[in-house]
Amino acid sequence: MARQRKGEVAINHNYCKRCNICPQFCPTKNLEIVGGKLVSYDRCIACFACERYCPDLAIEVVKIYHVETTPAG
Amino acid sequence: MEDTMRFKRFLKEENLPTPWCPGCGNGQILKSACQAFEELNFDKRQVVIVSGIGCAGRSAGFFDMDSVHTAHGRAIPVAEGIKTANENLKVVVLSGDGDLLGIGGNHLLHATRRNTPISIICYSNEIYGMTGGQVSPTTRLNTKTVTTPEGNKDCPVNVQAIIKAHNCFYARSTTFHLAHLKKSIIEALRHPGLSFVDVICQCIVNNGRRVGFKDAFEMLMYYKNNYKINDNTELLKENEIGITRWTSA
Ligand SMILES: Cc1ncc(C[n+]2csc(CCOP(=O)(O)OP(=O)(O)O)c2C)c(N)n1
Ligand code: SF4
Ligand code: SF4
Ligand SMILES: [Mg+2]
Repeated sequence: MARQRKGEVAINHNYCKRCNICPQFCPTKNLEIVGGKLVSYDRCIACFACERYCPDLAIEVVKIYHVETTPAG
Repeated sequence: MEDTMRFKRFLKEENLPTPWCPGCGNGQILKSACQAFEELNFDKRQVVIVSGIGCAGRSAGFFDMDSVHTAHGRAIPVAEGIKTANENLKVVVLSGDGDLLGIGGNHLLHATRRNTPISIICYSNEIYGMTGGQVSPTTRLNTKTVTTPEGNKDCPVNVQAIIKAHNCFYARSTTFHLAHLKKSIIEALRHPGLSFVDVICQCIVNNGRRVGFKDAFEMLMYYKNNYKINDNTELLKENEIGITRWTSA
């Protein structure tokens, strides 16, 4: 089974100043500045490092809860 | 909204983003102060913020609470006045190293002598950021600035010694050590007399780049590698951060 992402990174582009702090803190390389804009991929493990270190309140990480599906026995 | 963002209730979101440069550490201190207020469950009507002039001095403008943006160097006497008029208020000063220790240094000396119950959070970026990177009272020896092109030849002010000489609360932290920074601010806000939190923070644009840092992240990594936490001492060494032990006289 493919690894499921555990977090959704909400980026406020009005607040983001593209200082490049969060991409360097992210342990899964889930964030990157591309063409002058911060983008988030699907590798978030919801560690909250980006949200914590963002000096501009531009990032909110929302945890994704996956429901375990076990075969009926 | 996750619980981690509840501190936003202390800020006026319509006044954001701040005018600070990309990567500036000031935002991190603003945020940590709000997180400390949140953790202490402060009532917004119970707190007053006072700032002086400078990049750090802009802080007062973002709070959804009573705040005063005073003249350069005068945050402390204004804060003392507010506290004297209404002792039920929590009065918190947020300002820069130049503002608090340079032009306002005399006020700090006498406020600590009086032990006025206010909390002072100093944005110690070791530079006059707003005016373009001139030497400040906390600039390290031999550091190049706009006004010390050959390196600073004067000893930085020993803030810790001034605060401790009058038996006030002193803590030092950095914008990398965020859990420690928040804890330092919380302890300062709980302290019964004057408390001072010295926050080492990055001015990437008018200080960091000149001294060779590539970006704000590199400055944060420098803080990570250079400072050790020691919360169990009466006097911090130069490469230590910590909440110093305090004994009531
Ligand atoms: C009476 C007076 N003198 C000088 C100035 C110019 N001035 C504005 S900000 C500043 C330095 C601020 O330094 P600091 O408190 O360290 O704030 P930072 O910008 O580094 O956050 C100076 C000298 C002024 N505004 N008013
Ligand atoms: S929460 Fe952690 S893993 Fe997810 S994007 Fe932010 S830094 Fe990366
Ligand atoms: S000049 Fe320095 S202190 Fe002022 S906003 Fe820019 S980075 Fe921050
Ligand atoms: Mg300064």
